[in-house]
Amino acid sequence: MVRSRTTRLTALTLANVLLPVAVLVFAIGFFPFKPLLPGLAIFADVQEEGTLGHGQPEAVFDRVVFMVVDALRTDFVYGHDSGFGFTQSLVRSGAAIPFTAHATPPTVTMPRVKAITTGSVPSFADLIFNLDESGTGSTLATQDTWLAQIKAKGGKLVFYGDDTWLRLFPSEGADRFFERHDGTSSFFVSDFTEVDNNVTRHVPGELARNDWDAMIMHYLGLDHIGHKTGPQGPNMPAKQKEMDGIVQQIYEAMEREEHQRNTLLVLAGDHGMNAGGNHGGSGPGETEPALLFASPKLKDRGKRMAYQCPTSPKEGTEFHYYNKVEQSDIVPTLAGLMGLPVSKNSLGVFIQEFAGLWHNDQKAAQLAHQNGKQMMSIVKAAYGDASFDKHTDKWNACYATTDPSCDATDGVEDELAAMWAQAELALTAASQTKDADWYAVYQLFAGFAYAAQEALSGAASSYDIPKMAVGMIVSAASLALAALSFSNVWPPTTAGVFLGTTSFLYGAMMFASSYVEEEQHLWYWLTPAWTLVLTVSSLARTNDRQQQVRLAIAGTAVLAVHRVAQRWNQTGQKYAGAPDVVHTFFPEHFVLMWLLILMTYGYLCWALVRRTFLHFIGPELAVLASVALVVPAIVFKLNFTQADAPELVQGLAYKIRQWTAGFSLVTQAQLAFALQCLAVVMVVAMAVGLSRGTVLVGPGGPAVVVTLAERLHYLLTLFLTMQSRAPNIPLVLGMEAQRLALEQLLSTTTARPTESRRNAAISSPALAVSTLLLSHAYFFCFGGSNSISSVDLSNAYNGVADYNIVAVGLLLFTSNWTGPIWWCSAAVTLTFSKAREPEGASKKLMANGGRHWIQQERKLLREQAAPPRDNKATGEEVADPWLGYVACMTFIIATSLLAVMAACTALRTHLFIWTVFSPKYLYAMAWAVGWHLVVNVGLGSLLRWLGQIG
Amino acid sequence: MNPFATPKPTDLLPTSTSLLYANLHPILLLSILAFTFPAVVADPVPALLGLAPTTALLQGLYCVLCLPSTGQSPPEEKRKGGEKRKAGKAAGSQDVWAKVVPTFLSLLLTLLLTTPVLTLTLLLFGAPLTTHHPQTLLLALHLALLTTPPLYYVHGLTSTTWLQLASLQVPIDEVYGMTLGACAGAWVGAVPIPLDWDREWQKWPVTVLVGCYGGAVVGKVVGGWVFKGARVKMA
Ligand SMILES: [Zn+2]
Repeated sequence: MVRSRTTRLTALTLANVLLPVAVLVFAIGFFPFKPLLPGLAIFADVQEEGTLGHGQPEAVFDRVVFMVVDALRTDFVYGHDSGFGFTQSLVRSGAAIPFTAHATPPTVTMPRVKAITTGSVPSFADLIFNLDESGTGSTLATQDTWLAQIKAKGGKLVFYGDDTWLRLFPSEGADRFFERHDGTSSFFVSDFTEVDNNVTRHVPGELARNDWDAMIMHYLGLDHIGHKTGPQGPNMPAKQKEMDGIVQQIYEAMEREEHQRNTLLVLAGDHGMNAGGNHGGSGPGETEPALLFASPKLKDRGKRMAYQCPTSPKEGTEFHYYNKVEQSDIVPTLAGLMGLPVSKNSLGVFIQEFAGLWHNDQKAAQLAHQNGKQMMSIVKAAYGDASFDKHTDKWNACYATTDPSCDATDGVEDELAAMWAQAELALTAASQTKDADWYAVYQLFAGFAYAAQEALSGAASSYDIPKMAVGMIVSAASLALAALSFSNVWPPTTAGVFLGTTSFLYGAMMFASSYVEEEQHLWYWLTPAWTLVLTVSSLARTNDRQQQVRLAIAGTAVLAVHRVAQRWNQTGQKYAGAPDVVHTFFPEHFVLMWLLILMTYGYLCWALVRRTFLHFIGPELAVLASVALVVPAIVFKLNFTQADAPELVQGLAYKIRQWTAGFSLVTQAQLAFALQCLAVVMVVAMAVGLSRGTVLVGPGGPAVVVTLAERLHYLLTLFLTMQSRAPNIPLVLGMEAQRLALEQLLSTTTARPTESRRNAAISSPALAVSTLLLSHAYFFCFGGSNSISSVDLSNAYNGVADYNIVAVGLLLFTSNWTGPIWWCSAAVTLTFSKAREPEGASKKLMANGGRHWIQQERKLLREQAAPPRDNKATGEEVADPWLGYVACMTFIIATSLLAVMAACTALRTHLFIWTVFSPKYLYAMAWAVGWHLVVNVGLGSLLRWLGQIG
Repeated sequence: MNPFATPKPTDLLPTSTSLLYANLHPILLLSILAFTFPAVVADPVPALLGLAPTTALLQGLYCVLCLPSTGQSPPEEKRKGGEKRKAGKAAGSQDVWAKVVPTFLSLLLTLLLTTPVLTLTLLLFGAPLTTHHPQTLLLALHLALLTTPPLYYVHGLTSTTWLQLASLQVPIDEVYGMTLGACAGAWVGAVPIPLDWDREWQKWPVTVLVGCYGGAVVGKVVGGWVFKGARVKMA
């Protein structure tokens, strides 16, 4: 059955309209925005006149030094190889209390800062805003944080370090948070020292002053060392000693200075790091930063527990030292110690170790009671006021009658209500008796708080299942429409069968967390098989021995490049950090790397002259223009790499770097981008202008020497190299070789009978399968993975001076999806057939010294454009390869989206839902909307259309 | 013989020994693998080296006992038992040598030609590039032993035939089915490697080796019984 073009086009359009709808609806159900309680907490909210009175337990500390060391994993402070010698002596003496603070994923700085200051558990939606440098989406200015509480009390704050904080808390204007501040940008991770010196230089001055109530510092150097050289890097011990020195400086000031007597030092990591020095997900070490409270006053607390330090982690764990608390516990603990109300949205529990500081169990019980009451308002917001009250009333009644049938609780809400009722009962009883066991009351309220923390931090309570179901139904509809848009389904072609198998395998794989983490294996495994199928079936089509040899070489070339590209960047979780070309080979052979990069740019320069500018401008001019395009790109990559990864540049090209030192990286990138834009405009204008004078406008016209799509392909390639890290640039050369080989393999005819036609004789499913496999394979070859920690931010700010969310988003996408975008453009060029350049055509042009070239070219085109008349009838029926291509792509994207949605729904209570499946859904969104809709359907169709007219 | 004519599916020699061994062959292949499997998991290199001669012997016997050698189609008409015995006695030693020599050559070609080619192919298909070279080489040897000796024995070394074999233009029979099955099995055998089961047998090249043997046996049985004479069509 062959469907009409109109039917197919309608079905395909509808399918692609439904895709973003499905993505959005499911995301709203899966990543719900948690309702936040507005306003600042006050003591009156939680005080209870009847039982505990109006008075608050007195504050133990009146000032806090909050020292965040980015990526400070527990073993860096507590382990045997730690550089924190002084800090360890504090732990031994009892002046410091050590913890392992559990950081919930995503373990990147902004959500962690949110958790540390508000006490809430940031959702995955916050991750998207982590990239939003303008910060408008997630500023904490109006939220209840311990900073806001100090400010509300009339206290003053100062801040030094990572400017993430300055984006979260407004630092200018009337409602500014910080009296004094100095932010540092964490942009280039090669900076190990400046970022920290910029903080440290303020410390002595601030310690001498007594006009602040909280000093917040955020050190970045240790995180940078981790990213660059891993947790065992050569600079790590020295950096740990440096941080230890700062702790010592502060602690000694606390002992020495009268005005620092009541100062508390909090040393905290915002997140940890994995064995590779990266973070973002929930791998070992990423979720286990150190948390330590220090002050001479801490030695004096009842029921003191002694700590050994240095020590080893708990048995069976790698990074679990001492007691484990949640990062959010910092908020009620600080509030209790400093005499502040606990922030409204905090899910933290006052840390038990500090309860002894008051030497009075009643005061500890009061704090726990207030902590519990504050949390109960969140519980009520989550389950509904009336509903929760009903449960509590039931339990109150039960406990009054000591009815034995009340023992079993029914569900989390009921359990919480029971605990609350029991604690309240004990409180009332205790307040009416002398010498009551206040410690037991404390335990009951703390127990309620822990239970509430667990229930509210848990993911299961907050899914919107109907929305998720609608999302799945819509994507299933999109899938059905995509299937309708195939011209014919039966009999299936080999490519069709392969496409179906790939969809099925991919879909099945989404349910296995280990395969989601190691997705690259699927594409690395399918690509050679498909190449073999393609080669074998093309061999069968010809009897010409020479052509067979050519095909065999083409197939081998695709395989060989694929094999080498696999080793370019090690990816996935299981073998993260294993040797590869980029991280192991190139640092030792950086000269070779630059030679390969220069070869790539040399090839691009040649392609610009011989393809992009061919017949548009004279050859001499074309060479000039190409050099003018390529050189700024090379210089930018050189200077960028010097800043980003100096170990890959070392002494190279010192002169060039010296000459260009006067221009900032932003200016250099802007110049290169501007020149590329200019070239695009010029080439499009010339190609369209040229085609106007000839008869060949219109789809399905005769082949031309270089289509506009191919001309633009090389300009796009140039842009994409700008968006890749330098070591990845040589991969472009490999992809180009594979594209040329695929041109041979995909052609379904050998005798080139379609020479005079614009459309290449290829099967669109075969083209779609090839593009699909290579796009995904190269996504991973370039270093991508399904983990948040592999998102490469380094090229997201090229040429962006002021934070512009659209520009940054676009650059971020192009720098992480370089390979897939490139392959889409390559697929467009493969849909056009090649016309052989008539002998001497260019010579003739050159003989005229490049003059009258337009007339020459038009004549040339007219000569080629004399199509045999009898072709016209069949010409109408020649299927548009692009339509079939988009249909196949829509089909597989809809399938994979549906599979990921189904996996996320089915496994929503699974342990790995936030660590493996949620990030996968974010990636699936990017593939569906960014790559499929914007790049394939949008950019690809545009290029295809341009290729048809010029 | 017209070099461009497509070969006919190979028929087994119609003797009772041939039929017996042809049916025994897959069982023997699987048993030797099952027998050496613990050793292969424990230390693949010596185990694979030790297993290779046995596989070669089984494949050689299969050629000698069951297959018609190059260009020689199986006897058209079945002779009567008595006649055959007579003819067999007369040309007995000559006949055996006429079979053993090409078998030996087939195995030699497999070792010297197919193994290097398959090693490269395995590397291109994802075998470890910088480590495990002995394992990969031995895996290639086993894959070669499972695929090509009968092919060389039956089809000889004409490039046209081999091109047709490579581009799937040959009708399926036991021999060809076994080859295709072993290759497909090797490919499928790579699937369990990345799973997080942390089993010893997930290491290179155990699963692929099992895939080769399993695929070869399945391919032989399916090719000889179900799809005999069919052609793989690609469109
Ligand atoms: Zn970091």
